[in-house]
Amino acid sequence: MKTQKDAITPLQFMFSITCFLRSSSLLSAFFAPISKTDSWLVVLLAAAVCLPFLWVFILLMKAFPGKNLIEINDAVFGRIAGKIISAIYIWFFFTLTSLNLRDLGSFVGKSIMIKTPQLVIVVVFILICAWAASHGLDVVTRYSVVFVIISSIILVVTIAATTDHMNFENFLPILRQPPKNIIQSTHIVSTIPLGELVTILMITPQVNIKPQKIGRYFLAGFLLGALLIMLVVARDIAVLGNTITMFGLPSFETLRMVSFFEVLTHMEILFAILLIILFFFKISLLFYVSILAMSYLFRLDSYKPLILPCAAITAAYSFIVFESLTKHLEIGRDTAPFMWVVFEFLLPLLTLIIAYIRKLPKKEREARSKEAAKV
Amino acid sequence: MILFLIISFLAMLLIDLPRVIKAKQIRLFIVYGGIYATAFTICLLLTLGISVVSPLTLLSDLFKNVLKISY
Repeated sequence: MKTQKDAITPLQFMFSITCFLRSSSLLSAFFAPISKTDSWLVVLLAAAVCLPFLWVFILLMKAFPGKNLIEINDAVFGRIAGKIISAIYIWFFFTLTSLNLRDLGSFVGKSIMIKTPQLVIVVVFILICAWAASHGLDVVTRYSVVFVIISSIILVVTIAATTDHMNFENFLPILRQPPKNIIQSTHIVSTIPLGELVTILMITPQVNIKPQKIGRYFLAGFLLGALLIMLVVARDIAVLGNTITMFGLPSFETLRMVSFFEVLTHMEILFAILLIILFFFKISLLFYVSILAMSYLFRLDSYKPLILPCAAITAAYSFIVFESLTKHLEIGRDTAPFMWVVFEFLLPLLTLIIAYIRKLPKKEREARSKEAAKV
Repeated sequence: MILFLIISFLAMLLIDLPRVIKAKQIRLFIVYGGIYATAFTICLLLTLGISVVSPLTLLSDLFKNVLKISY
């Protein structure tokens, strides 16, 4: 199913990962009330915790070059078990897409377009993302570099503009929170959003690079994304201090305080623009991954016929995925970290272990060398 | 609202059906039909105000109340 049109460059791949992670840095509501002023440290700890699992992803990419996650599941677990596990992953991908779509709909509906029904916002947005996905991975990821640059410029400008409001004593004392809170927050950040990079395993065959070199771009994108998340959280802590726990969107409140020469004020519009841009990227990529996975599961020649009905399912699912914001926060803080560990860490690790027990990469190499010898 | 839903799904069918028929693949036809029917059912239930249980909430309750795995 890989076509020349769908191939992406290593830089697009790297910045797609950064953009994917960056799009979640604006939503620190899950962990900021728990780790409070230690949230910046939690991001660093979560990144460190994720590194071994990223290594698992990279080993899977190198062991099965040219195969995406669904094909790897088929190869490792066999046809029936592989299809069951792939179906579970597809549910996970659709759930992530719907959660992000719902978050965007809630934000735009409550902050910007207050009189517009959320249904309209969600449907219009998913149609735009579906349209992007219909043109292939290259179109979806083409502007990832630009988006990362824009978000980084806005980050630097807002850090410079809020310097007057910053109080670096807000960071002290370090590790003020009890260990349980630090562990919980680290767990949350490592799964939402760092661990969501498991979805990238669906697009790695479409990167125009030798399998041995893909790891460095994956790692570079991850580290850059984690760094940007940490800087955003640190900026919010420096400005808001302990009041960070009072706000659902701390970055939104931080940007309210930005003013240039008392002429340009209420720069939270920058947050809104950035959120929409980054969410567009993330939802488009997640939607593309979801329908691509579905097309591989059912062994279809193309994912394109599935775009519109899957967009309808995603939009509908976004309205039922959780009943209220309170339930969303409760799930995100209490149970989602444990649920997501299964999809993001345990299943890929199990896949790698079984692959090595069955000596599958070696068998594949032998099969390839035998075929080459016959020719 | 139901009329809008039916019109939207008919429009979806008008856009996709020619491509699905042209492909001449039974598997594609079955998969597309299944996904289309699922999408229409869920959207219809939501439009009629019937609450649909979220798989995420069910899974969360399983982890929290049955397996006792939560913070």
